[in-house]
Amino acid sequence: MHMDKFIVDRQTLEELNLLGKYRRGSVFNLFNHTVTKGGEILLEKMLSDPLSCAQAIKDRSALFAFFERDRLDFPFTGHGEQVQQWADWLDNDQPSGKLASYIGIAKKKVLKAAIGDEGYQRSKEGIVLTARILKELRLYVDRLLSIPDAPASISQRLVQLKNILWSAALLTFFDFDVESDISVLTLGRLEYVLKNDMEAEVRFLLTFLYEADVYAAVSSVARKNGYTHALVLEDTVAFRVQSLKHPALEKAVGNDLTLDTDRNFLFLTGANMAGKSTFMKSIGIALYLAHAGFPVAASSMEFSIQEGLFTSINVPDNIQLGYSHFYAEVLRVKQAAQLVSNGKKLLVIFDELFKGTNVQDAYEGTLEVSKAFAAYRNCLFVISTHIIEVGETLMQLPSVKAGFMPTQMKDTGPVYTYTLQTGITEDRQGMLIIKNEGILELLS
Amino acid sequence: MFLTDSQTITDLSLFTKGSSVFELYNRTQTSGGSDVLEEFFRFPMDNIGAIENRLFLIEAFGAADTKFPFDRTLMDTIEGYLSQRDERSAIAAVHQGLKQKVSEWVVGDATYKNIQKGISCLIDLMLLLDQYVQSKYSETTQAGKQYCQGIQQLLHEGVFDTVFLLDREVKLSNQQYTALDQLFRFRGYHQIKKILRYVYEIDVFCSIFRLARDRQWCFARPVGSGQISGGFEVVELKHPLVENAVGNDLVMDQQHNLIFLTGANMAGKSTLMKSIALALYLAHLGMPVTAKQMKFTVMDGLYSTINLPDNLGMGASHFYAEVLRVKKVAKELSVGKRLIVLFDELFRGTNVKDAAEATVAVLEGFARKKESLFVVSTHIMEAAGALSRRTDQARYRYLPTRMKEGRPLYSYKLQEGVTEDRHGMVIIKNEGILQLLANGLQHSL
Repeated sequence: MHMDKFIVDRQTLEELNLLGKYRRGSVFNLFNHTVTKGGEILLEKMLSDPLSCAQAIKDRSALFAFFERDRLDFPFTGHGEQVQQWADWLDNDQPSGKLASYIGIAKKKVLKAAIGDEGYQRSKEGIVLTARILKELRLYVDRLLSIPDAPASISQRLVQLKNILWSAALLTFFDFDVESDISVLTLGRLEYVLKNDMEAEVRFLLTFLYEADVYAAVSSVARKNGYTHALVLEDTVAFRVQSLKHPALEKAVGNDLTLDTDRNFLFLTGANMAGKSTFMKSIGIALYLAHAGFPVAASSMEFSIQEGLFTSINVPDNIQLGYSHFYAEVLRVKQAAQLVSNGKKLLVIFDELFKGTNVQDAYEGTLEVSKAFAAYRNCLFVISTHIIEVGETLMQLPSVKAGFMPTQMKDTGPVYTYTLQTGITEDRQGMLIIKNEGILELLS
Repeated sequence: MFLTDSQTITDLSLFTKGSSVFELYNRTQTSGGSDVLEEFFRFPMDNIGAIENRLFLIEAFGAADTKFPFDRTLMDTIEGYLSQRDERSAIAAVHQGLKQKVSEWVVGDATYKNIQKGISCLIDLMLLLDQYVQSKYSETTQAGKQYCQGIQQLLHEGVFDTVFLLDREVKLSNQQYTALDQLFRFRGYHQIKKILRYVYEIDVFCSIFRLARDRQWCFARPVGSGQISGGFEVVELKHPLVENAVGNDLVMDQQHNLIFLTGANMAGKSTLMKSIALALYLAHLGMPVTAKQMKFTVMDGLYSTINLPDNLGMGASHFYAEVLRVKKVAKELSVGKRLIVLFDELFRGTNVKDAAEATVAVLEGFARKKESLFVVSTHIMEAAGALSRRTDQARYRYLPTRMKEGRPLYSYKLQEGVTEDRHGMVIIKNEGILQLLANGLQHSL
C-alpha cells in the first residue's frame, strides 16, 4: 500500500485543466455544484489531493455511488447560505465562560432596550438558526439511516450523528418558541452550550454538512452525465475503460481503451485536428479523478493505483517559440525520465513530442525516448505524434499497442470521427492537402 | 506596388516593439522626419527609377558636410501652430481693440503669443530652407538639382513671395501677422505642408546617409536586367540586429534562383534567411543594407515565412497554415509576379514522408519560376537528392556545426553543399534522458 502523496505537478494540473474555480471548463467547476462555502473548499481539497491508498479510494468512491444510487440530495439546497451563516455565527461572538455568556447577553439586551443593539438580535437569530438546522439535519440523518446497505464508512458516522442530534443538550433547542421573545437566561444558556459544551459535536455536524454537500453535488453531476465509479485493481498495472469521454465536452464521442501488463504503452497517431489531444486529456482526467475517488466520464472503468500522473500536452502546435520550446520539451521529458527511472509508477502522457524542432529530430527524438520509456512495464504510457514513421519501429516492442484517430477525406474537406481505431493511421494528409489546394498546378 | 504582407513585416522585425529595424535606422532629428521614414519603410518601391532617385537624394543631401539645419524645437513649434486650424482661431485686427489690449496686458494672451511665435518660426524656416537649398544647388547632382528646384518653386513662385520681402530686423505689425496667419494656416496651408514634407524628407536623407557612413553600411544598387539576370549579389551580408554578426556572400540569378539551405537548429539558418530578406527589402526602400556591397534587380514583391504562427481558432494546423502560404505565393507567381520568397523549415508540421515529398514537389515548381528568387531551409536531406535530379536551378548551401567535446560550435559561415547536422538528439543525449532510463531499468532488474 502506498501512502505517499500522489505525484502531479502544476503543468499537468494546468494541461488537464483540473483545478481552479476561475478556469473555464475546469474539472473542478464541472463538479462544483456545492451550495455551501465549506463544501466548495472541501471539494477543492478532495480534488487537489488524489488518494494513493486503495481502501481510501474505495471508501470515497462508495460514498459517491451511495449518494448517486439513492438520489440523495443535500437538504439545504436552495438555502446553502444558512449553513454559512450558522458557521459564521458559531465562529463569532465566542463567550469566554458561562457567566460571561449571560452577562454578554444581558448587556446586549439592555443595550437593545436603550439604543437597539444588534448583538442581542444576532444571538437570537443564531439560536433560531441552530434550531432550524438541527431539525433538518435530524430528518436527513434519519432518512440516510433508513437506507439499507449504506457503505460502512458512512453508517458509523450516521450513528454518531444521531447520538449527537438526540443528545439532551441539543434537544433543548426544540423546547422554546422561536417566535417569542426569548429570555436572556435561555438565550445565554443555549449559546453557551453550543459554543462550549458541545463545540466538538457541533463541528462534527458542520463537517458532515459540508461533506454531504460535496457528495450530493458530485453525485448529481455523475447521475446527470452517466458517469461511472471506477474499480480499483490491486497488485497490477492496468487502465481499462469503456466509452471514455472528455468531461468538459458536450457532445464527446466515447472511446474504449485497454492498457495493462500485456501492453502498457499506447502509440497514438492521427492528423492534427483528429482529436488526439482531447483523447489523451480524457485519459489523464479519468485516471486522476479515479484516484481522487471521483466518478469518471465513462461507462465503465477499472484501474491500478499509480503513484502519479505526468503530462506534456503542449498548447497545440505552438511552435512560435521555436528552439527554446524544443529545449523546454526536452527538460519536461527529462523530469518524467527521472521519476520513471526512480521506479515511480506513473501514467505518462506525451502529446506531439518535440514539435519545436524539425521533422527529422522530432522523428528520432520521439522514437528514442519512446523506446527508452517502453521498457518500463510498471507505468502506463500514452504517446502521440503526427510522425507516423516512428510507429514502424515502436510497434516491434512487446509493450506497445497502436491506436489512431482517423480522418476521412470528403469532397468538402477532412471529416473526423473521433473514434479510436487500432493501428497506425495511413492518412497521408500532407500531399493530399497540397494537391487539393492545386498548388502544383499553379507552379507548373 | 511592391507586394508584401504582415507576416513578412513581422519576420523581418521591421516594427517589432523593443528591437526593430526601423528604430535602428531612425536617426532623424524631427518627429516629422521619423514619420516620413516610417512611411518609406512601409512602402518598398517596385521600379528602378524611383529607387535610384531616392538613392541620389540621400547622397545629394547627406554627402556634403553641411548639417541638417532645422532643429526639433523649431519644427515642433511650427507643427503646434499649424495643427490648430479652426477659422475662429485666426487672429484678426479686432484683437487690437482696447479690451484685448487690456486683457493681454493683465494676463498675457497665450494663444495670440503662440500664434505669433508660430508665424515667426515658419518665416525663419522658409528663409533657412531657401538658403540651404541655394547652397546645395550648386554642389549637387541632377536628381538633387531637380529636387531643389521643386522646393524653390514652392517658395518663390507661389503665394509666399511676400515672406521673402519681409525685413526680419523690424518687428512685424499686427496687420502683417494677421495676413501671414491667413496665408500659413488657411490660404496657403497645403503648400506649407508640402514645404514641411520637403524638410522632413531632407531630415531622412541626411540622417540615413550619416547612419550608413558611420556604420559602414552600403547602398544596394538596383541594376537593369542586362547586368545580372534577375537576382542579386551581396558581399558580407549581416543581420543589422545581431551583434558581432558574421558576414556571408551570396549570389542568386536566373540560372540559380533557388537556395536549398540546411543546417542545425542553432547554426543560424533563420538569421541568415532574415538577413537576406531584410537586405532585399531595404534595397527596395533605397535604404542602406548591412553588407559591404550589394546589387540587385528590382522585383515585384517579397514574402517570407520564417516565424509562422498557427491559427488554431480557425481550425488550421501548422501544416495547413504553411500550405496556405505556399498557395498564396504560388498564386502570385502564376500571374507572372517576380517575387523573393523565403520559407524556413518548410512543411515541418507533417510526417517525414509527406514533408519530403511535398518539399521536392513544391521546390521543383518554384525553381521553374526563373525570374523569382527562392530561399528555402529544411532538415530533409532526402529532398536535396531528389530535387537535384529534377532541376539544375538550385544551389545547395549549409551552415556548419563543429562538435567540440560533445558541444556544438557554430561558425555562421555559409558553405557549399548539404549538411545532415541536427542536434535534437545531441541535446536529448546531453540531458542524459536515455541514460537515466537505461540505468533505472538496470536497478529494477
